[in-house]
Amino acid sequence: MKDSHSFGRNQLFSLCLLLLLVPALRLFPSAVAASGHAAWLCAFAALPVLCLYAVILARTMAQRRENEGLAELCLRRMGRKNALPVLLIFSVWMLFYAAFLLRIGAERLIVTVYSGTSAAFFCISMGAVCAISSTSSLRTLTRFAKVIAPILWGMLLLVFLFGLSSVELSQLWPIRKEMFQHFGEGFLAALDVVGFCMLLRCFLMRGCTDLGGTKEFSRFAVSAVLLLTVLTVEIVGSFGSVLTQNLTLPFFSFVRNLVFFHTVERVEAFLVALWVFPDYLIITVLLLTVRRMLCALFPIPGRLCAFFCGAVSAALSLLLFPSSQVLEMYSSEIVPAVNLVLAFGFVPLLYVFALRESK
Amino acid sequence: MKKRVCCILLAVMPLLCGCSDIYSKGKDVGSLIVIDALGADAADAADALLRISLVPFGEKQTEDALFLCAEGETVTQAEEYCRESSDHGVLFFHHISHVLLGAELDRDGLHAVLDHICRSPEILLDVPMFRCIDASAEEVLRESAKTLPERMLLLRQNAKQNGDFFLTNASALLDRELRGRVSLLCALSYAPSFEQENGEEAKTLQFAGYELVSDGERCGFFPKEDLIGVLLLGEKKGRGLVSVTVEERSATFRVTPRCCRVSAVRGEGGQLTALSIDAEVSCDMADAPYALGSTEFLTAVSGKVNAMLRRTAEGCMEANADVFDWEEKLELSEGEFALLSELPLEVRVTAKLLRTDDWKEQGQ
Repeated sequence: MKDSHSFGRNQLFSLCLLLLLVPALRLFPSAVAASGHAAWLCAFAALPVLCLYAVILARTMAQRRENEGLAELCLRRMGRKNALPVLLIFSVWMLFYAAFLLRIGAERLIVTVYSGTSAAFFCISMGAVCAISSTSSLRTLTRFAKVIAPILWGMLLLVFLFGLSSVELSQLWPIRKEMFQHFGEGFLAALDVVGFCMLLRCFLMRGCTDLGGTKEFSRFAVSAVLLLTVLTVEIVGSFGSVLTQNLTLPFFSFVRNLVFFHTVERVEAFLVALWVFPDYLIITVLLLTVRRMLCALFPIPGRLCAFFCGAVSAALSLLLFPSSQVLEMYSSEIVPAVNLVLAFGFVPLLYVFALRESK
Repeated sequence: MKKRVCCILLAVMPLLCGCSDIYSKGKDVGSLIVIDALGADAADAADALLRISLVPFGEKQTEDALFLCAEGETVTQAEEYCRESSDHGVLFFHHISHVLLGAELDRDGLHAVLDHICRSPEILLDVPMFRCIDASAEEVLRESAKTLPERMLLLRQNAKQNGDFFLTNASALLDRELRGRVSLLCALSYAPSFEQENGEEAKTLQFAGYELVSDGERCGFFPKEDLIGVLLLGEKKGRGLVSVTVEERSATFRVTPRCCRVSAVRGEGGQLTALSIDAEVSCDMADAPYALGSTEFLTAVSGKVNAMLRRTAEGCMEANADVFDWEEKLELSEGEFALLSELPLEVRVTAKLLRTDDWKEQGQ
């Protein structure tokens, strides 16, 4: 039933695909580059697992009632006692992830455009804006995503089109046996990037009028895999796998090297500015999800909870990452590992739990 | 609530558009010193690794012309010293159009420059890199501060439009260094000086050939006279127009890309016995002393290109350089690559006439 807070599956799809851009542009090219010429196959290799995951997610979410997301479903099926630790773990992690994204977004702005500036300004201002936005309903965010999506996709399309001329087939072919030694890392990176977005999608389903089932989840997985493959082909095909691994922000370096119509160049600052939107969306979505989970668990006013979450994540972003090395370690090791465990550990567990209950 | 949110957003917006210098140093466009060229040399001081020289764009060659020079353990540190020593304005590195490496710059220095380009958000990854083979980068930049931008532009145009040679850039060098491969680096030298209208002697830079670089060290050199050999063996993109003198007359050869086949010759026992190179060139001739399509003409062209190919291949084998990816292309087993320098070369060149207009105009 439609109400003032409801939104359609296409709006949710659009929002989630934008959320995917954040880890995809930051992490994916470097993570898969170790596979050498086979890097562009990593996302494709993950597709069967992602489709299976889509089936599990769709079946799990099929048990939801009207106006329920994964958190509410979990609370109803598992009972408050069992669901409390699970949802608390998710809340703590999502707050930490939001803090990490705040800081890495600030670092990116400092490294690329505002050199010599303190991260505090960016972390606090972004944290404040996201906290304010997380007090509103998800419908506002989906509408915002719908507005901003054509600009972002248009820019990406232009970048990919103009970047094609720099792609060398010799960097992507031939594929040899020894290149599959590190293939697992790229495969896991693809699972991590897409899998966590699919999980986040389940949390956001509260208010979604039309879920679409397995087909809808699979559509997202296929679109995400295609996007990741194009991204890998462009970046690894241009720089080669070894150089890509050594670049701090490969996608940014790729854009920096582009020349449009032999006249326009150095458009990276524009792209970095646009990149703030997916950052804003994912941090707001994380804070909103945490707010909803905490409000479902404890009797706290929603707005107060949202501001508290925003303040905590902004404070964590300034306190937890003393140096760029620590941030890099979190970015390449800890965050992907935890995201992967949560995405592929929790939902199948819930699914098994629900199956056992139904018997 | 909406009013309050709007008020907060309105209060924050001026900060975001750069109206304030709260989050950044105020940079006026007029105060920017746009750096055009970066030079890197070996350092004089014991506690420094390299010496960098910076030439701002459009500087006149006068005594008080701005020329920045500093030493440091890293390029960033040296840049900081340059910033501190410059009271004139803010240094802007985004438009560096070429990087010059001095003749004495060692392995660590080269790696420091490459590492800086790899990590810097300012310098383009595909910035062309040149080695000055008979001078320091500082000397070249100081002497030719006024004419350097035009000279470099001309060099780049010749490389891109006429195919006189091909440019080597930082990303290609970085990629091959990281993979432990040998790479080519464009080498520049001073052309014979000439007297200007005002009586002063002018020095200009010219393309001298390609230096072979392995793990940051120089391991060989291909002079520009053997460019056809490098183009053919390297299958480098470009138009490949190279002028070659045949029998004291001028002729122009168009080197068609991907027209060179290198293969390993193996004996009955599978052992490596020779390296075979088959090349095909198409040529356009002007003022050549041979009849149209005559065997003598084609033989002369083949012989000339054959000699260039042979010299390039021998140079590559002597330097044990896998600059043309032979190890992969020939599918050599472990240890076989090291044996290449001892192998005989079988070089065959086929020449074809591509265009005969010039010949016809001569009344033939």
